[in-house]
Amino acid sequence: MHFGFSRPVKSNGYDNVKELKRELLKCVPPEGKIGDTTNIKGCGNKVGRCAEPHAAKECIIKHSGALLADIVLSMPLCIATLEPMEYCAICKHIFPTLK
Amino acid sequence: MAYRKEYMNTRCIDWFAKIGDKWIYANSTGGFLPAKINDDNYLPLLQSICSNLPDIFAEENDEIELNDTLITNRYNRALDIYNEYLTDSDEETIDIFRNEYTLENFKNNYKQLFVNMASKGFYSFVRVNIDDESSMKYELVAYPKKTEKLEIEERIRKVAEMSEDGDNIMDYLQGITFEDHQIDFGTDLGQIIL
Repeated sequence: MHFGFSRPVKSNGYDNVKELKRELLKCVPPEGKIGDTTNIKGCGNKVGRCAEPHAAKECIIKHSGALLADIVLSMPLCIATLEPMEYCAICKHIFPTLK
Repeated sequence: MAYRKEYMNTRCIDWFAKIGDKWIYANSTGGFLPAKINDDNYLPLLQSICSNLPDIFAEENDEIELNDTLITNRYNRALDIYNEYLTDSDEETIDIFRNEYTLENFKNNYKQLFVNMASKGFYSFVRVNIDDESSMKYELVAYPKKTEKLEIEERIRKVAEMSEDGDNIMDYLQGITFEDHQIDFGTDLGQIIL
């Protein structure tokens, strides 16, 4: 089990997890990079910043060979109230288990 | 300067304001801050001052009122979300979840932050539409039953005046008075606080 928090991300932050980086880059505007605001309609998040890709990166590195399709995510929680929240559009796009 | 949109949308920001003569604490849960509040110089100072105020009420002494209706509604919402999430899970997993995810456990987690601020004398609010960053609907979670011990403003001003930037903080404090409810506090504050 791996944990993640929403936090800033560098453009090379996912260089060592190729499949994840490839999927993340599909969510950035043309000529964009990891960390840019996504062009997916209705989602203003920065690509790669969410807790989910941070946790997935850790998981893939630790379990070398793990695929995005192998990763099952728990519900995202609001840190103030610990209520479940919806996944953002980027995460729904990246993780096959959320589709 | 104001906080950037991305900053506000990825954080639960504590903010404070005055309505009439009452001080409120509110948690933004990823929403936008009201314009009067949104200042990355003075809000952190106010957060620091307020979080260090002494506790003057205690939940264990029955001095804090909780909005149980809100908490129950939020619990039911959470249950619906988890039930959908667990649709494909086996019976054993669902049973474990149901036994552990009780209203009591949910309430203990949910109320913590708000009881903490109510114990300092704040009427403590949460932004409830957490999946809609543009919603400004807030609901009261916890508040002190008594009001006679409240000297929040005096305590805040005392600390603010000692700061190097005291005059500017005082100007900021003056500006965060909500006389004309510019955001939807979801509750009739008049009935609850007055």
